[in-house]
Amino acid sequence: MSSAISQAKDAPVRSSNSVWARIKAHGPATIMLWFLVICFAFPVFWLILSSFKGADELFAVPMSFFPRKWTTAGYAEAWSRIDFARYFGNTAVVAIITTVLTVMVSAMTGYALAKYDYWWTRLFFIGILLTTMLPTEVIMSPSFIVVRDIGLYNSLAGIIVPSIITATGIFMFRQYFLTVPDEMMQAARVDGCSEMQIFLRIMLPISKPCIVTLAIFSFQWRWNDYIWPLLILNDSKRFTLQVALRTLVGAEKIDWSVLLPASVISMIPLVLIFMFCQKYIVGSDVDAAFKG
Amino acid sequence: MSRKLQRVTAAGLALVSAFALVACGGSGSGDASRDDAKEITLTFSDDQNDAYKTIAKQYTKDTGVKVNIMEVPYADLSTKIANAAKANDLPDVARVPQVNPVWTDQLEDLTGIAEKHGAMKNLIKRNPEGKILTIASDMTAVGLFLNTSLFDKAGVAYPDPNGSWTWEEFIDAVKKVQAATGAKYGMVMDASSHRERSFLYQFGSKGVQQKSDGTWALDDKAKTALEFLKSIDDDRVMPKSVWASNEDPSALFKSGQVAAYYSGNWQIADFNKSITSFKWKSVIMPASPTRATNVGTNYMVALSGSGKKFLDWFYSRKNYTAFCVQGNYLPALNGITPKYANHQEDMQLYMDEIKKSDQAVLSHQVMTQLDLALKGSVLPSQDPMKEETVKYLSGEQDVDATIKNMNKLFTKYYKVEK
Amino acid sequence: MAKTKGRPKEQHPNRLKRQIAAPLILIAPAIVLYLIFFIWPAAIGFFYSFTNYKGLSKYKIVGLSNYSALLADHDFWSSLLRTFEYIICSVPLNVCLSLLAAVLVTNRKAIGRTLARTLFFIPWLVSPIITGLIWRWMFGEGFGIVNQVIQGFGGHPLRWATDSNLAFVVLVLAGVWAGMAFNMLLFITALENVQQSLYEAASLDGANAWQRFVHITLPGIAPTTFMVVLLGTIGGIKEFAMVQSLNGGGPGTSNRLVVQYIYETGFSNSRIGYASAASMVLLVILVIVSLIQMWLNRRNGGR
Repeated sequence: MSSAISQAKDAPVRSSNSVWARIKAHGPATIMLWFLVICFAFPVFWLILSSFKGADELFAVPMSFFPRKWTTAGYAEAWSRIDFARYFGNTAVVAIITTVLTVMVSAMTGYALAKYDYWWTRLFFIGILLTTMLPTEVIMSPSFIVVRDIGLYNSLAGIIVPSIITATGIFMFRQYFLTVPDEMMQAARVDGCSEMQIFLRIMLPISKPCIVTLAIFSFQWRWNDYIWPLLILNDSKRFTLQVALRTLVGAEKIDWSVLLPASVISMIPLVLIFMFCQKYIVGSDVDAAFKG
Repeated sequence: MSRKLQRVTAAGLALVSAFALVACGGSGSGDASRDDAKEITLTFSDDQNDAYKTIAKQYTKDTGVKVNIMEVPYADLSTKIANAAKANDLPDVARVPQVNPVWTDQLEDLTGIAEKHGAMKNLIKRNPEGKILTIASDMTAVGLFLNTSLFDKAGVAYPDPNGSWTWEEFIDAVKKVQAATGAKYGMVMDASSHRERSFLYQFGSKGVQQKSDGTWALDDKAKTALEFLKSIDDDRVMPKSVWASNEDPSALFKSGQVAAYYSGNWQIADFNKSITSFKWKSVIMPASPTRATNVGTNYMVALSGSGKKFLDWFYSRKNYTAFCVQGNYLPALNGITPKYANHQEDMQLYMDEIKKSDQAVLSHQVMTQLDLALKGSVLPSQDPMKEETVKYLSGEQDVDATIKNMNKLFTKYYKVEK
Repeated sequence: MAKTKGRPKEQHPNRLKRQIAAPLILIAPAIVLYLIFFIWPAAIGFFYSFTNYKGLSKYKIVGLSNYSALLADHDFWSSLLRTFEYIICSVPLNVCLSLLAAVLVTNRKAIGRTLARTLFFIPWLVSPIITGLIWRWMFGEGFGIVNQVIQGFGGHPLRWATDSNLAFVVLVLAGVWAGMAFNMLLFITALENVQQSLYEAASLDGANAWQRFVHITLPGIAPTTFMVVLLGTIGGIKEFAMVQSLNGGGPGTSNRLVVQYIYETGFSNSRIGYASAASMVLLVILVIVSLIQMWLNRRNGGR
């Protein structure tokens, strides 16, 4: 971001010639980028537009692109039907705690798998890959019995602890640390660092892009979790957002005019968090770490 | 950097210990066997107009017992309760789409309550020991909606509540409406085996019945009905996408581009709110030649003595009437005549259709299924009818193969397993 | 290796010991969680697969009959086949688009990159069920915006919902749309991790942008690409909630993917024993797929 703008500022607008040069330099990449952006953003744009249409206009023919009559009635009803403040809170607590733990465990494990290449680390890596493979829906019945038997039923820990370990997170850190040259470890060992010190003082700091990326991923996964919180918790006051959202989908009908605004509201915190975090993903200090 | 890291690590450890504490505090919920609990749990889904939440508040007001409400998404309600049973943490009262042998042995005997408040006979099934364990929470019925703006514009007549029409006459009528108004489709029909059953009944079929050798089968009239269904599922009268791929028929009807919608009374509350661009009305369904509808229901069950007390209160005349009015529900008790705030005449039409329907088939589907569930079968949530019909409509198999498959699958589906 | 040999001998055992302790400590939490929340349930599931378990306390051990029934179950195999077709179509498309997006948003010449990055990301934040709903709407046959646009240009509306191949196209598009940002972010991290000095050196050698991309970027991000392909494959096999709300595997059951098949058998139809057997078969297939991919990756010099 900063570089694009500063470059633009630096380029002096002296003659039409230099403007043309700038267009030539920036044009193709910019056009391609924004073409792709429009393709990807359109469905959400359409969702948002539709959420401002009244129940009678949603399925009107001929279809309107922009709402003929902008209405926030759906938003008002969604807000009154779903106690968003409570569910945002519940979901945020679960998502934050799980994310912190997921990042910690994934970084430790991924580092060990990348930098200590023994038969048993390799075996565990393959084992870990299998964890992502069986989808929650497939293994739900046995998993529930396990959670019950270790006494985590109807507790926050019951949704948090089983979700900590994710193969994606471990895999990400492993692949990331593979790209870090072994020489850095060797150099640190020569300097007298212990193995744990190398991990904590050198490796963890330089994996910041990976930490932020996984944190975002993990937060999103937990934010959108549905079946597990529903089954484990037995107090609807502690339910998470998606569970509340899905009560709007009934046996025989879906209340679209409320579901759409509710979906939009449910996404807002995630979007804000992402916008806040994304400046940390720019990995300028990764270069510094390598060069330094 | 390293100091920051230490702080992060410390924070992480603090969190770990924090949720370990939560874990310890979280377990140990109420004992379900108490009779005079100060607090009960009510589990349900699909709360039309907040009727369940309202009645729960009223109960607290009347009795001082706090009601913990657990609103669960419909699609996963059965899974939720079955898992709660595995964790020995069942609610006191639940409104369920079907009973499950996983927890039927924990149900309270509701025979007294059912008899005292006059639960409708055709929605009652006794378990093998002769006890009534479930009472219908409310009733739904299949019915027909017309876009009367389109009908009036085309000048096509439709019968009044005392009249009648056959399926051929009805299809002719919607075709005329289509021709005169340019409506996109003549009709839509929910892709559901429940709606399909009432359609079969209207052609004189008795639906899926048990034969003397214990197998289950459709009759010849069902074949006529299925062939008729195929003939109108042609992308002109009916859009193929509804049955083939779950396109939302209610959305199609709400667009104003469809002359008729074969669905049920639960749509009324929603239509009342979301249809403003045209006029609609419930009308009597076609009969070729049988006048029939198919009722559906959910069941109230009590899993503790205090839950039973709640149901006794719930089914009392005053409270149950208020509940029906609030939620636009059709009553499942005899002698209750709610005055609905909206579309009273539509609700009345449904109650009349139920009365005039062939009583042999009226609740045949739900009662067969309830009977099997009470005898210990774990019934799949989807019966084989819809899937096989979809295969037939999409041309994957012919009508004879479809009926043969259905018979085979229903015999398996309806097998009581001990 | 040569370095290690060259070290004084007395230091060697100590070093080796330390290097076993450190990785053990580092992966211990993961191992514990793995044993409790994966191996244990998987063992239970494995046991169920030999029973007629339906969720009741009473059940029988039925030996291999679930497996033999599964071998003959046409629905299972066709859902598996459709799943592989889904992966073959969606993974390459997803990798190309996400790499393109990552390259563009890290390209200093493109204007508005931060905003673009955020916009790219929003689809991924949408929960799977909403994703399905959005796409079902846009491609609705009667009233979807896509058919409206096609008609606006004078074309015939397409049968997005009732033609099984067109419905499959929608499924692939929706899947790629929802998953792209995830891979894009992985690629961005990887691209920013490629050492800038290499590009500078290449520029001095007169390499053009495409040559730099092929000879520096692609090898530099190879571990990430491997990860994206593997995770994409696994993710494709796991696709469930989105398909469920998009078209329920329709028309009919023609686009039903394998997880949906297992879920419907196991939960909607309460045949947990049979569904467990299907899960075990799926697990074996998944293991084979990932072993093949890892072997390919290793053969190409990766890890």
